[in-house]
Amino acid sequence: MLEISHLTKTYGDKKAVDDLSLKIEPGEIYGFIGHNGAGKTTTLKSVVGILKFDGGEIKINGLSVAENAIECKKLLAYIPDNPDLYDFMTGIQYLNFIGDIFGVDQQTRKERIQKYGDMFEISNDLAQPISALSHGMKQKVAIISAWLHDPKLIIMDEPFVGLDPKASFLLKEMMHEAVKSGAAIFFSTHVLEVAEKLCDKIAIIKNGKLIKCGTTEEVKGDESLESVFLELEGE
Amino acid sequence: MLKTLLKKQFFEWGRTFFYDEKKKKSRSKGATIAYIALYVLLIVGLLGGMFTVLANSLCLPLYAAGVGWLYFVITGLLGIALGTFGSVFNTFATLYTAKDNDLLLSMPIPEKYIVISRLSTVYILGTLFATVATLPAVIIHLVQVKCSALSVIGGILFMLVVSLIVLVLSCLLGYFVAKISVKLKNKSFITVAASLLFFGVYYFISFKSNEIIQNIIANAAEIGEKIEGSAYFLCFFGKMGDGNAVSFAVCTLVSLAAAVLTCAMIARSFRKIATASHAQSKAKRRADDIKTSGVGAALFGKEMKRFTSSPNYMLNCGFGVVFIAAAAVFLAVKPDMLLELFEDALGFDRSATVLFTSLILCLLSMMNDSATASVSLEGKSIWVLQSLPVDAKKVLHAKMAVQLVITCVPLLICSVVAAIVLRAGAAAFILMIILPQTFAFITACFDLIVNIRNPILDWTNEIVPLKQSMSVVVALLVSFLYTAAFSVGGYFAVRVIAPEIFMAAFSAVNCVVSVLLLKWINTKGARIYSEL
Repeated sequence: MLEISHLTKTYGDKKAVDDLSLKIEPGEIYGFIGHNGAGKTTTLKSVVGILKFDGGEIKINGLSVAENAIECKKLLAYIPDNPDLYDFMTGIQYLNFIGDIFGVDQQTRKERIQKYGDMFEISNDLAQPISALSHGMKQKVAIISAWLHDPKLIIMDEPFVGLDPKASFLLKEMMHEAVKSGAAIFFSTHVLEVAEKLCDKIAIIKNGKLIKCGTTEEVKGDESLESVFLELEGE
Repeated sequence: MLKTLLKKQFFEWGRTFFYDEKKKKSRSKGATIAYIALYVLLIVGLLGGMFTVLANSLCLPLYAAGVGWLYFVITGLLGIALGTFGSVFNTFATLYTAKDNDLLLSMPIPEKYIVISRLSTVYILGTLFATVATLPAVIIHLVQVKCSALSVIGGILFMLVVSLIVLVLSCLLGYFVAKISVKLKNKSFITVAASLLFFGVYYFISFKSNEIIQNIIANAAEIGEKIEGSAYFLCFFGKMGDGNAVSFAVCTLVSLAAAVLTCAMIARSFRKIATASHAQSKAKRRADDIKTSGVGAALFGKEMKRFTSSPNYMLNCGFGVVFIAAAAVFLAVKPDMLLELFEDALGFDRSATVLFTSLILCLLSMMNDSATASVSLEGKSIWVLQSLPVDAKKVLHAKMAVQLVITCVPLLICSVVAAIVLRAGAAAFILMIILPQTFAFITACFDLIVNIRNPILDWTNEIVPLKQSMSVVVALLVSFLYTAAFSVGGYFAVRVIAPEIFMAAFSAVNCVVSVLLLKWINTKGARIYSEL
């Protein structure tokens, strides 16, 4: 589903991502962990086509992100680390906008907004301007918009930040449901317990370089993920 | 602490001058000075020149009539009106809608410091506008009437007092706008409607200004006597500029006290108003709120919603709609005035009148420049469109489309009215429609390009991309110079060729340049936008 080969991205003299390679198959939840500034967001933004990268290749379903950005974007959904949505729209207007861009028909749109809106207990609040919503509610709107077009690849940057415990639980359920239906999920997190329990595979990045990746069991062995992470980080 | 806040506020306010957004680094001293000089030149040159002429026509006649103080009353009131008019929405946006209000309120900073730092830029902007009217008045007075130490001090204090009154009025109006905007539904449109009413009165007075000035000069002594009898405080205020020591001491103290009191009042209510945005009544979902549309319509709808959701955006970048509509009404109601101006006063024939009327419509349409801020206003949410499967050029076309819709429709109506009123021939009729439309297209392309090349995405106050960005200044200046060049060219060309030929040539140039600009937008512009 997603193949990152020798990805390199620099900002001035600094290499934010250095020769990173990863492969994510359909049906996998892939966790991406690393310290602040390790290069996680840069990698995720490069995958979704927001950032142009300097070297390497990113392929989604065999299509190059650099050459077929729009076709690739049709397959994916992205939730950034901060839900800066359109403040001038209401929640429902924003979801309609996303639905229009992805060409989601009215009936499907209605069903999904109803389903996820009720699930997150936000259906009535969708009539409010986004500017009036709390951080967590904006995050819920961002999640619903991501699931609206049934994406094949879901990219999330710290998706649990700002969510209440119930919403976090529901998001995990949604992630399981999505991969069961053949989607792939690639997300960054600092909550190592969540990554340990939720992910099929984990990649650890340090100073832009991938220092360990594989199935969760392979990465952590007999230790906890936290111990492995701290060890690799040289603590 | 206050120093730090002031530094932050001034850096944000003058960011365009000090920081190159494109190169992501501070400008050199030379570039900063050149940018500031250009800004000052524009304000002083365009507006200051107008007020110098006005002051020059009033000063000596009023002194000759023995009511010199009336000269300072008139110029002072003009300064107050201009300063207040120029900064009332700036006050509201700067004080109450800044995105870092929550951050600052969460810090151990006394609220009065936040208010003082915010009001410092409000004060400077208001003073800049007011000084455009008061400085020429003071200089003309010193040159034409008397130049003594007392009159210099009086002049300086006169400008200071006017600037303080502007601050007080801007704060009170900004406070009022904030109070009503918390309670009202459809506040964007109500705010715009109220502003338009204000502008209407303002422009009506401006339009009648010549008549009013002549009337004042003719009846100066009588008017002075009436004011002295019924509103002595105005007379007292006017005497300040004239060098009356008692007057400038009292006026300075009173205006200082009023400014301090107003700031204190704003500081007391600041937290309540700045954090009141969530206290609105909750809107309810409608049964039919899930609607589908195509990608193009969705993008256009999003841009239009952005435009109509912000009074600042509508007032700063859509004001041409009002002017064009007013021109259409004016042409329909008073068709003879145009003919009197062009044919009787300037000696043009009907065809040339058609040409110059078209050029006036072009100038009016220039005031719609929503595209100059459309990229910047994406701000931190630019990731949304960048991550969606949509061609960047379609996004840019939607931004242009908003400017075209708000400009071309009223422009078409106005052109038809003008062509009918002027009884234009068939060719002139068609060209009168085509020329302004092609001009509207070229300006939409150009405005967008300027903003693609000079976006400000990390603003905390939308006033910055709307009012204080280089995009707006460059777009307006270049569009003005482009029209001016063709106006001058037209003035001479109509002596040798038929005005219709000139109009056709101007339209053709617009079309060719538009195609080139559009090509840039579709290729390089789209690439730059997707990499912002």
